[in-house]
Amino acid sequence: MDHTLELGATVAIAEPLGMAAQGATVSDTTFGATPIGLDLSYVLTARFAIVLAGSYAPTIPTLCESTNSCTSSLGSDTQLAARGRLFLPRVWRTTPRLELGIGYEWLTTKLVDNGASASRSYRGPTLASVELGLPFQLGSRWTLGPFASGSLGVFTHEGLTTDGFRSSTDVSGRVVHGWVHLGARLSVMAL
Amino acid sequence: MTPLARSLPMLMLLAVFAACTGTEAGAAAPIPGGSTGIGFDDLRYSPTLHAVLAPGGRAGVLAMIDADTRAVTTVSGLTTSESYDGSHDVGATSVDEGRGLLFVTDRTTQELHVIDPKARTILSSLSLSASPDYVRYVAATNEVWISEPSGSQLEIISLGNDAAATPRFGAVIPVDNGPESLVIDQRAGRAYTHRWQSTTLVFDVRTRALVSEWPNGCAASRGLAVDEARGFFFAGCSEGTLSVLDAAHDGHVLSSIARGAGYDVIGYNPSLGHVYLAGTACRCLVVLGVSATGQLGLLGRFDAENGSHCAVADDRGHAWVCDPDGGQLWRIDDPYPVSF
Repeated sequence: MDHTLELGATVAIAEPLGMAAQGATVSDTTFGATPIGLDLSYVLTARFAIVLAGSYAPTIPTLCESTNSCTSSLGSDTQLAARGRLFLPRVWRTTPRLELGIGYEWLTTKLVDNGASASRSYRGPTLASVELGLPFQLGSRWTLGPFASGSLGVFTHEGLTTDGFRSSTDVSGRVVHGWVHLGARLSVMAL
Repeated sequence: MTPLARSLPMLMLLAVFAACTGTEAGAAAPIPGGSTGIGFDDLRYSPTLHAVLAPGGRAGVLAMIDADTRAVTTVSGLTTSESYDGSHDVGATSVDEGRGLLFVTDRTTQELHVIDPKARTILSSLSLSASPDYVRYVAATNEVWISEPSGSQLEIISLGNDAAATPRFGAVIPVDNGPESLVIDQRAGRAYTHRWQSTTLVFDVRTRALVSEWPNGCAASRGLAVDEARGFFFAGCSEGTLSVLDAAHDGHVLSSIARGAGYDVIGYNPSLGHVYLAGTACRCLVVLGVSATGQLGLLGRFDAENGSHCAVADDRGHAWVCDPDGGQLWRIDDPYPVSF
């Protein structure tokens, strides 16, 4: 192996699935998200690498009624993940990558209406994430290609913040939510 | 590995999501003339008529739906319109009951109508000074109060003591940044209405004076309800939050919960302690329970039709949810126990 350290950057669109808490779907308050991410991977063998990844995604609100309100009502979804990356056999001009991992997630959605705001926040572990990437070589060090990924997680804590009230509690019962991502990844071999 | 075995993880995943997203159950009550859609807004329940009262918007009727049989009788003579644009700005949109009569407001003509529900006739009418939103009967003063957000005011109409309760203009109360929604606590002699954001206004119905303004926990204030016996005031928010305020202690927030989204008109059953919230953004009906100390908890969630934003409770353990595009109401059997 000539290179053992790789730096990647991703941009994607993400669709939510499932329940944030009992009686509350993730899609109640957000249509989706547009995550941008960074990852750092260390290639251990010709077939395997370990990856640390993080992403931040503005979440698109379902309820705002004007440009100002919608801009102010953008929420966020932040995820950190540790994954293993398998390099699959070369197909055509790409060496597909399959990644499996776990992580942690913080989700906040909100509505701001003429200066008044209310937000919901959730956090909890990502139990499983899987990603398939198809990188195409741009030169000796750079790759660019599409990827698709999915994740499943549970939120263990929820919070509600309004102008007159603030609460933070454990999520009662366990329900599953997830995200489906489609995006592109640019990477460079650093060492 | 068989195809079924290969598909098993995906099937399990789909089953988890399906199990989590609510249930669909209910019986429809179509409104005559409503098949192309009705811009429902306010819904009420009349214990004396044993009927859900549903102003029929462009269909030109006030519908009275028997809570048990779902049989629909109508009062006609209200504004009709052939077209349905999805809004609730046409025809009759609000109703309330008092003195054995029904008070209905018509947004198109900007009129208040007094209706005899047994004869199913309009007894008297009065032009209003602005487009009406909610009409509520005030027993203590023999008035109806009408919220008129387009005029940023509450209009108070005095009722005659005659059989037709002949209405006449009484007064106007300016409400900056409102009023949104309206409910009367007949026992306490208070009227509650929201500003569009953040707070609820409390009026003394006898003096017509603003006596308090409470933070209500909403970014976008919408529906409201009162539990007169327990002194609870419920503030619903478009963003999906419901808060219980202690009406006896200057509106102190007892609890809040956020489930679903896109709420507008909320229903409350004081016998069960159940609140019904229909949301456009979640396309759902969320059922919450309130304890004797004012703590809210989730009881369940049902699927609802597109555009469902209004709900009402009857006294037979049903929630009723509007289905504007279908021109009908759905009756949901509430399976949950008393929350107090």
